[in-house]
Amino acid sequence: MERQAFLAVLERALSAAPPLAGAHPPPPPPDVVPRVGWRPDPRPLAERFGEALRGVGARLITVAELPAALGELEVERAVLTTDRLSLPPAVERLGLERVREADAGVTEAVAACAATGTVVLAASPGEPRAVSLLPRVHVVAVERDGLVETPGDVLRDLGGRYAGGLPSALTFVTGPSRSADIGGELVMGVHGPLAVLVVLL
Amino acid sequence: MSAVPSLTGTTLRERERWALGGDGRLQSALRRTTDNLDGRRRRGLDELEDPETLRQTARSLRTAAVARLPELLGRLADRVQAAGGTVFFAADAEEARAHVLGICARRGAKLAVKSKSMVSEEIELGARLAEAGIEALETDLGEWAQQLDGEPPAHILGPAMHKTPADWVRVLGTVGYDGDESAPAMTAFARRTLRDKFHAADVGITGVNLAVAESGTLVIVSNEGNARMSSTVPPVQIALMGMERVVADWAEADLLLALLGRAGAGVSFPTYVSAITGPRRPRERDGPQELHLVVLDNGRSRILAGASREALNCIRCGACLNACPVYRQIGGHAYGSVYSGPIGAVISPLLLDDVPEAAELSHASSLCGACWAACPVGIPLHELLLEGRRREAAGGGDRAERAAWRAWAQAWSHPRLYGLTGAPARARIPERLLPPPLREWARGRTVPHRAGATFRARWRRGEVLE
Ligand code: SF4
Repeated sequence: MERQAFLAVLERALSAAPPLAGAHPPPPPPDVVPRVGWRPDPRPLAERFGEALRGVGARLITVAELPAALGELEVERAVLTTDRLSLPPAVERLGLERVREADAGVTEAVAACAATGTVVLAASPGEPRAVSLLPRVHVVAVERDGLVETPGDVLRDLGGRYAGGLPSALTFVTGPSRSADIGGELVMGVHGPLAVLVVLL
Repeated sequence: MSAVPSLTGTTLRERERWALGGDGRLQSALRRTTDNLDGRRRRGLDELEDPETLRQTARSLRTAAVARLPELLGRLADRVQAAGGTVFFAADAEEARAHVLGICARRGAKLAVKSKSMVSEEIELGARLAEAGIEALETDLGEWAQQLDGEPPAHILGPAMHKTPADWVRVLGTVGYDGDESAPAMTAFARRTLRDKFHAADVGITGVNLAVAESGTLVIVSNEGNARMSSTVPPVQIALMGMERVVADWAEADLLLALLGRAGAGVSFPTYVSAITGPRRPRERDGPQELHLVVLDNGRSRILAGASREALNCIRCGACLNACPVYRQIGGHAYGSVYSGPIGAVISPLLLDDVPEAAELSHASSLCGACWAACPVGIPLHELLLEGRRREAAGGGDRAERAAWRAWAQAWSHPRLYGLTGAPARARIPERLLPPPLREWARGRTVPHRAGATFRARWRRGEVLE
């Protein structure tokens, strides 16, 4: 259907619409959408971030802990999109075109949210979407400056952050891929990574 | 249990009997899933400072957005096109299917991978693609199992929640699984099998949870990651959205996402929230080369024109299903339509106005209001269900029932006649001897104990304290 005709149908529907059913119709919305308020938490952001990550089955590690963590997860080959982290000698670095063969993908986040353990990834020529998605382990570097309280702090500021238009894909990742579809049992690593390691720089 | 009954040619009562007539496995699975999700919802909301105010704000915002749908959809379409995507406005299911088929044909597609989309179920897209020789594969674990089993999904969040691990072994066995009942082993098998399909797919089909008009962005939520796969690996992405899914800006999206994750699965934030603005850009290595958005009416403008249009505020979180005492007994399939639970009982009769069997779905409710209390956008579902019953009654309804209600109204507005109605109520009639309509009512319910004397008799005898 033509766009104009489709929207005209909606205009007509709205202009003839009766009052809402129900005894208490909603009041008009506030001029400014209120922030999603969390119960206050005085602890430092990094500490809350680590706790939230544990809560969703991910881990906050230091640069020094990376080699051991990769070893535990039996990572032999990895792809990297960032030079903020380097791979231990035991791990072979593959070119981006071989992302399907990699055990781990190492990327950099543009922001992270302490309250939820969320890392925010932005697609670009240097940051293909697949690197954080196809390998079974995702290692992601986050700048301390990029750490904010809640997803709302990022979402509500997208217009300011990307004044020239949003990236083709922004992905908010909160822990490993998961499902409880089989008998209600929580299992990690359905389509995306089964382990997420976050390194705060 | 026997095959899932279809809506046409059955009554709600028959489908309820089908759901309640099994060995009780459905009910225990329902209890486990809905208790778990409903409990998680309460804990998730507890993290917030003032969830009730947020809920009321969300209600106001959604109502305002729906009231300016033409403007917001127009802006959304402009921005999606500016980012390099196409937008198609589909008046009905047939237009939407034909458009999707056209894209697939142009690309010579043989395999389409689907991530969860209620709209694709609503327009029965899978069957139509199959007719055209295109395999349309569900990739959400639960949806995949349902597809392999030839059954529709049973719950928005847990499409296969009624399946036991043994059922899963049987179903996955049809595509080569030969392991045991371990969930991790079955998940690993699914990952391998579906991963190959993703890489082979010509088209990825996704739903849209929210579309942000401000930036022309499609927001798609998943926990498994299949929506990410569908919007990363295949060369073409087709996103299907109900026309009411549009929000004005990111502040509104923020509020709704915070409520969606909590109300649906009790998580502070969904595992994956993908915000897609147009297809891949020059020099990007992945993401779809083409992004096609399909905006569907298919009866929604009928809802928009009526008093129940608050139903369009729904963000499909599933909370009202988990809270509903009727859903918790009969499950999703007994509703006979894609949308089940309280929200399904409200919108199915309106969406399916050419299917007479759908009209009585507003009776699949006890009007207790638990749905309304659970709904993160505060839709007064119980009032909309009443509105649905009113509409059904005005459209005819059951003649015998109308006569009975008229007699009841007469009797209860005259003291003497009212006094007479006490007599049969006092008599202790065994359930099997009840006249057929009452016996029918008593089936599946506990007949209340009748008091020894009416209130009026006790009043006259001075037994009632003033
Ligand atoms: S009606 Fe409310 S509770 Fe039910 S699915 Fe929609 S948003 Fe969720």
